[in-house]
Amino acid sequence: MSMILNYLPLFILAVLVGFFIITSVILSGFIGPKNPNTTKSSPYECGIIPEDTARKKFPIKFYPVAMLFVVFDVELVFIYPWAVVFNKLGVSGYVEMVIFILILLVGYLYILKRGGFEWEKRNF
Amino acid sequence: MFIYLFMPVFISVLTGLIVLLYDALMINVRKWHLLFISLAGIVISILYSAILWKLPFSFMNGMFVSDNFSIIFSVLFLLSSAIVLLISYPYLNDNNLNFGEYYALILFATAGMIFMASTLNLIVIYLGLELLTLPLVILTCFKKGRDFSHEAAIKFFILSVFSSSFFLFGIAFMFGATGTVNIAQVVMALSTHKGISFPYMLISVGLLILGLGFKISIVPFHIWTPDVYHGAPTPITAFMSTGAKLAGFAALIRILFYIFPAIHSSLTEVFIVLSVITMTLGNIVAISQKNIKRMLAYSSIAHSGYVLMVLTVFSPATVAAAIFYLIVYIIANLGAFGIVLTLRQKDKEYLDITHFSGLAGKNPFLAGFMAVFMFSLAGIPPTAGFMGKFYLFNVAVNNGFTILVIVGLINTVIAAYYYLRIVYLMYMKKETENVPSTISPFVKIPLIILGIATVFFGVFPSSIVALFKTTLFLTLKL
Amino acid sequence: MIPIKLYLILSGVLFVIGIGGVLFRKNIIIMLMSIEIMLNAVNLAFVSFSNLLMLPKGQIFVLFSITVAAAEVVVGLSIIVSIFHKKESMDADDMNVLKG
Repeated sequence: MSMILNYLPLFILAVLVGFFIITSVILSGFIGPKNPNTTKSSPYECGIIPEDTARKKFPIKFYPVAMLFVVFDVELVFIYPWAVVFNKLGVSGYVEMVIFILILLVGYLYILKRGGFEWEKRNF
Repeated sequence: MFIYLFMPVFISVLTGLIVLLYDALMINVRKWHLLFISLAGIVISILYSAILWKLPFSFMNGMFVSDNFSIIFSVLFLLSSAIVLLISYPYLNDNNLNFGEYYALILFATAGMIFMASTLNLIVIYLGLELLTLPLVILTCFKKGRDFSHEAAIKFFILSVFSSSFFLFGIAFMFGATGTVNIAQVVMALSTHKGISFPYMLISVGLLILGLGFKISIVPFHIWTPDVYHGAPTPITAFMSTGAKLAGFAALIRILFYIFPAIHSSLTEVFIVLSVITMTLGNIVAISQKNIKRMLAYSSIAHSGYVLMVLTVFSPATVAAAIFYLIVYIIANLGAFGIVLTLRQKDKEYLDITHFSGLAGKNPFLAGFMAVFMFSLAGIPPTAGFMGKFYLFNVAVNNGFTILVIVGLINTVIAAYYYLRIVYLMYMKKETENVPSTISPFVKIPLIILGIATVFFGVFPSSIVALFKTTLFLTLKL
Repeated sequence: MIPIKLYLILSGVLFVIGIGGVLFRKNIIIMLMSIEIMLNAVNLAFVSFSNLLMLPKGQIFVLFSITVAAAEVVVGLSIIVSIFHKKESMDADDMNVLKG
């Protein structure tokens, strides 16, 4: 029982927050002035005027970039735990990570040379 | 230094990376340079494996082991990929494909196979499986512009990833049941807290067999085999039906060897049923095939069934017979695909069975070797295939699976029909269509070696089987 | 504290949902997503077993599984992109050249 009592302030806060949100939304709907125009109802994109609808096919050029990003992004899964225990691993851990990064580097160089990062004349 | 012990796999990865970079960075790359570098890497790797023979060791609690079993398989993987590299050369040349990527992917896949054969850790087997599968998927759709190569690739990709997630789920259950993923420690761990975890264990073994069953195309899980073998470029089909399948068997034999004592006899009946339906369905469907690659695909399903026959009992004799049969099978299959590869003009391939009509009159060399390989696959006496089947059936009878052997013999007769039909077409029929054959030394030399090996193992099989019996089983137990 | 058993049941349910998605959906992208669900179900199973048995190595296996899943997705998507280039279709039923 005491466990639940400990959470009482949290419940009160949750109720208050919910109340505040609901009332402010409803009140602004009633009281606020209404003059909708196109600029106001368009989606917010950091101040830049949107050109087109979002439900549109992307040029296929984007996909290879996304894939390359995934490949080089996932290496972090290994690097982060490695960094946490770096001091305990010693030299052998360092050498192993260097080998791992070198293998990735070979892949990177290969993509670079085959033109994977060139936007215009992509050949794959 | 432990690095010496990793050399076979390390060198094949390194060679792949070198080939990739050499192709991309150097100016003036000649195609034979790439072939030479890859083959040199494979030869060095084989030599290192030979050095490690009879020096069993286990590294990092069984994550990487090197015993005679793994060395035999590593050498077989390396040899089959060397042959595939050689027979691909004229094919790649004629189709204007990228040499560097192709060779690098084959070398990476070989490294994956070696990992699968030389570890006791299920997670490492899974990683090896993926390292084998993903390059194979890319190689399947390597020849752009053909409609069905993409279709084959996506089928292969979806089904193999699907099956390997079953495998991974099996590993998770194994981990939950025993607290370890090292198959050598599973039996011991199971005996300490028996009762609660036994059902988990059974589910786990079922899922593991399902996952590997996809790879070696046992019958309920064989659906991808004919389509993918048909759609992939022919040298890649040769690679899939030999090296990749062998890797699946290596992992399966190792897992079953350690785990069968733990789940004693619960799965024997399952294996008998799987074996019977696999060989029967494979052989019967193969009869009606018109395309030679599809026919060889069903034939390779049937051959998996034969090997499965002895995987329920583990003794030196069964392991030796299974491995000898697999060796015989990959020799004949590589040879058969090598000959299929020669019936082609530039980038047009002739893949119908009827295209073999009258080959003997036109090109007696090709017809002679094709006949040898077909005899070997069918299991006709002077060739290695007969001795392989002889040892396999012998072991099965000794272990009391007489019914299985009878089914196997009936299947051999069925299989003989479609293998010998090709020999009949080559020697007895007149040519129906003008089928060109391009044969280059890169195909001719491997074919001669494979043909000699087929006859040699057919005449002198006992020494190599005895070698397997005495050396493999003792060190498998580390 | 939610019992570990429930996590395992959730993992099993997710895995079955994934299988259903692969077997019954026609769109290749959705099939790929279903396979990802299956792999994540396995990850959940690994983590809950690792918690149950007090063995942290179960969590290490998840890292490998995530990496392999990423590699699989990349290979799969590249094949799909190149199919889309040729066919403008994502339907598995359009893949019907190979049979027999």
